[in-house]
Amino acid sequence: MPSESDITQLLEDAGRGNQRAADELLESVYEEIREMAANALRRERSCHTLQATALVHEAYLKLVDQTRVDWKGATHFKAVAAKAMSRVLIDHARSKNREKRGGNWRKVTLHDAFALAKTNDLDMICLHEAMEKMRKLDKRQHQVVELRLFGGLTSDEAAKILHVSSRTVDRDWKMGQVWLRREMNEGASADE
Amino acid sequence: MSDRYQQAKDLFLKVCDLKPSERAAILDKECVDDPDLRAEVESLLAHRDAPTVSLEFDSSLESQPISNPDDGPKRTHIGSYRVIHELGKGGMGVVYLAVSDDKIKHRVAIKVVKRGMDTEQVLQRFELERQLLSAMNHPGIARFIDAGQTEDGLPYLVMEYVEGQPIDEYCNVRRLDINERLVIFRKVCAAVHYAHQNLVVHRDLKPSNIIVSPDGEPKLLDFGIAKLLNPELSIIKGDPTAPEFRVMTPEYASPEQVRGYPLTTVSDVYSLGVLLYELMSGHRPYHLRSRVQAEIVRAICEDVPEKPSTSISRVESTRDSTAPGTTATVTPESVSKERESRPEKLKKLLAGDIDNIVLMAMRKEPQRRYSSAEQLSDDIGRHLDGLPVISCGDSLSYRFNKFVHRHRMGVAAALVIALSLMGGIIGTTWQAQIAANERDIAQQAQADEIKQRQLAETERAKADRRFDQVRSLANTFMYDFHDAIVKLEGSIPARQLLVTTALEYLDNLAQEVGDNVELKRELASAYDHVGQIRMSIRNPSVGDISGALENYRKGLGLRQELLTASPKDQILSFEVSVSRLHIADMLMLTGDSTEAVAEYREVMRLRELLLSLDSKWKRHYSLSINALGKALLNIGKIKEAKKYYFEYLAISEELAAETPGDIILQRDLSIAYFRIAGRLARVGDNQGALDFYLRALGIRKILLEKDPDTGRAKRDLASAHLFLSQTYVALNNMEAATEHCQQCISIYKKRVLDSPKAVRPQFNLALGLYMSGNIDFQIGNWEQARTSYLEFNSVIEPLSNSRPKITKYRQYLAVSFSSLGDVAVETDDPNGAISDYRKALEIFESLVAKDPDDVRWPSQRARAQLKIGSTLLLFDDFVEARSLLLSAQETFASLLKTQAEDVEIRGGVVTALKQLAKLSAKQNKIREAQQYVQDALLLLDDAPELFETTELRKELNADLDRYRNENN
Repeated sequence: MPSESDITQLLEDAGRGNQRAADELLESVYEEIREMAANALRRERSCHTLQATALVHEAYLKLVDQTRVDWKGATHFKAVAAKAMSRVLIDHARSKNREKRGGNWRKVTLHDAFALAKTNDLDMICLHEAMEKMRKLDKRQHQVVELRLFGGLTSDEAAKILHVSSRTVDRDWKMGQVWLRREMNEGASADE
Repeated sequence: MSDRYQQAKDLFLKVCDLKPSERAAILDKECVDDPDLRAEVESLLAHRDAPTVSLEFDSSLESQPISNPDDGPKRTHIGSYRVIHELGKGGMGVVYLAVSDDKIKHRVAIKVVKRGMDTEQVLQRFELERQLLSAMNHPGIARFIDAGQTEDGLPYLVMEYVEGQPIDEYCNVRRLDINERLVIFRKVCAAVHYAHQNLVVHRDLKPSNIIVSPDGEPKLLDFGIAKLLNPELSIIKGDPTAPEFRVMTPEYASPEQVRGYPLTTVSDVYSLGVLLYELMSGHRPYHLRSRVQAEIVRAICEDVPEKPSTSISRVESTRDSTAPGTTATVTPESVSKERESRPEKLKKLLAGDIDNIVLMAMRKEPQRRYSSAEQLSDDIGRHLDGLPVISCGDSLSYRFNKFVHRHRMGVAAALVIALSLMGGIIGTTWQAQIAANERDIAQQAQADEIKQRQLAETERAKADRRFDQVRSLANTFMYDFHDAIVKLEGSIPARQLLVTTALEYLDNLAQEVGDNVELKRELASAYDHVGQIRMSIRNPSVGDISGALENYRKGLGLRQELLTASPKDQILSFEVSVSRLHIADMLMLTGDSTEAVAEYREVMRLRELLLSLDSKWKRHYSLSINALGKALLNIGKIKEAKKYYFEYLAISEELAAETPGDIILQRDLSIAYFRIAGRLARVGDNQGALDFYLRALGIRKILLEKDPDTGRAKRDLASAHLFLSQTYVALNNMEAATEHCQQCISIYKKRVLDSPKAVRPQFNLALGLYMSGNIDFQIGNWEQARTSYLEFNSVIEPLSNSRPKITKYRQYLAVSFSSLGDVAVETDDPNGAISDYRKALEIFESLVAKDPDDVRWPSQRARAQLKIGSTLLLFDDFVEARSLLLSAQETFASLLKTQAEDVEIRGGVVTALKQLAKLSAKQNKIREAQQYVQDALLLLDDAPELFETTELRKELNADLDRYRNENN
């Protein structure tokens, strides 16, 4: 498990443009967030009361030595964490599905089947697919949505990370939300 | 594509914050020649304006509003509507009059649901319902406009605001006579019928929900809203002071509604009947003096209402509907005056047709009511025209017509049933409570001598009703409806719902059966059927073995009880054997083979006994020894199994010989040969399989000669050739395999030419091509194999694409990719192989995802994983290889638990373990490799008979030796 200073160091190196540090940072943060999310899900059995953005913030407080990092580093961290978070969520949803159709497919009781249908795992997978589709259509908008949705970045923070105006971020965010909503609703209705 | 996207995005952002009218102006201008662009932007706008819950949890950075028990703040705005004033408070929340913020200033009624109701669920239910509700566009139905969530998190519904008076008040104040009332009532029926055709059930029809405009046009409020706000509305919770209870107006609720059973369109017909009762007579059908739940339920479910023409003589004090809180006395005179009539004249007007129509609409048993609001309205129409009406006295002869009624309800009703099931109207505990209450009441009443006779009547009526219920349940739900959806892909969740609901009825009924023999018998069959839905060998089933077992056992218990009472009843004895057969099937699946064999033996014993009494049981006896044989094979008693197989065959042949001219029996015999052959092939006895396929071929040749013009005979013959070809491949006789394969292909090709548009011949041809590829592959003619597989692929791919729902096509499309992958491996193109295999895997993944409960796909998927994993070993891609191989091994191992005799599945685990060993060895984990091989060998030892002829054991032993040497 990476220590606070490791992560902070990686963050600083990545900030200076070190690609390897950036990759390593993402991996470390991914591991960390996965762990935290798993704990959170265990704690609150109501599955997706898991607040992605709150978790990212918590991770920041836990992993980064705030005395050594300025706002830029903090924003950078959150951007990385947003990416990690989206991966964690989709992995979680997928692994639950895998479990569902894997070894214990016979044992799913009627009751469980309903409970499963209620969780947002399918939504999560739809969301992931929609996000992938968006990435192909409009890369920047995808980044904006990822940062805001999973990392909880404000539009100013996202603007600074992406080197665009916050008005552009707002436009992308507005379009992105509506587009996602439509994509997911239609995906759901087309499914039968 | 991306440019189009930017174009739409720019335009969307330009107009999205504008008012609708301004939006339209800009869209008109910008999309003059580009309707697609406009459609895209409008679709985005629709989603901007739509409420959504799907992203709720992600954007939850803002703190959640804390629930507060009050009705909330004074509201000035709700969504994009400005609140004018409060219209009223109800059990569900507050209703406001509001206007839309745009120029048009529509007046709307907004219902804000009060705190304490689960917001998320209301909105989710809304998402399901909104399409149905917003599709309703009828002048007699208040339009449903929108829904959303207030800033403080309460769900609200926006509906057309309707001005006027409730229908009862309207009629009374204007002193409408009976015919005028009937005319308005028919308009109500028309609106209700329209909604039913749109699959929406009102569930809460009552005068206050039917507003008549000053010019006499009724409009129905709150269609489908009852369900939206509270899917359990139909169920009265234990506490009669609970808000749900007060919300529901029990006077208008149907028996099925107060009992918490699923509601259908005819539940609304019932409520219409009560409404008509009241409009006609000025009285309500039941004297609901108390609000005690059991009392209400009893009255609604058991009391026979007075005829409307009789009820007008009653003198009652009721709450005055025009002045809340006060009471009014209703007398024959006051009622008649409100109808521009005199008591004697009114009585005459109502007696006969009107009485019959009202009481038919209000029948306790849904299937005996009018089958639709339209039918009710038509009957009133006939009365108004002076024609004879279809309703008539409540006579026993109706009981024989109810099945006809059931069918008239048709598919729409069945769908509505399903939809209400989806809404989750389930209330076991409550139902049990009702049952208990009923019993309590019954016991009290026994003390009373006069009541005792009534009670006997009631009990009989109850038994009759229950009998009807189990019938209509078993037939409509479990047979018609279930059978209609059983072959649909992905229907398992719906069937699961049917099962749970059905079971609640059944368990409920089981408590009350008493000594009604007929009912017990029905009940036992119903349990049997539910069991088959849960787990059956023939049809796709839910896969819930232990649940099914429980059902079968319950059915068996009932049947055995009955048999003890009448031990000479052959049918009963047979039914007991059927229950046992099913139980044995389940035990086989759970791996309790020894127990299963014991059950099968009992089945055989019972049927042997039957056979000694009457030769008509011969066929059933033969089926029982067939099943026993299969089970014996499973526990390794192969010799005994073979004995039964041959006895089974002997009887089938005997039966066919008894009526030699009978084509169907002959064909059945050929199918029996097929089954046995398949069975033998499955356990590796290809020589035995060949023998039986040849016999089947012989029969089918004769059948074709007898009947040369039918497609079926040709198809049957071709499939015999196909399977013979496959068997010869397994026996390594390529010459014979080729010959049969060509025969089969030539028949199929001709059939494709004969009917180029038919799908089935194409599919069969594809299978022939697949076989042809397999033969070349076996010989080592890689290129020819590839050509056949490609042809196979090119036939199956369009089939699969044009009919994506048919899993069989997708399955064989995957098989075609997988076969091409096999050729690629052999021709040293591992990259190509992996890419082909991945295509196959993707399809199998999607099949698994689509229907996780179907047993066939996991093993196919595992096979694809095994192939990819094994090929990846060539590239030393250990990480992915290991994960795929482990996944395959796990899948096969879990399947093996229930299908121990299956060569392919057992072979699958063994191969996966073998490959895992290879992988471990490559990574120098020799000890681990040894362990894998040992595990594999143990698995082969578990079923020594199955693998006598395979090379696998030899290979594994060689591997083990090699790893041992490497370790030293």
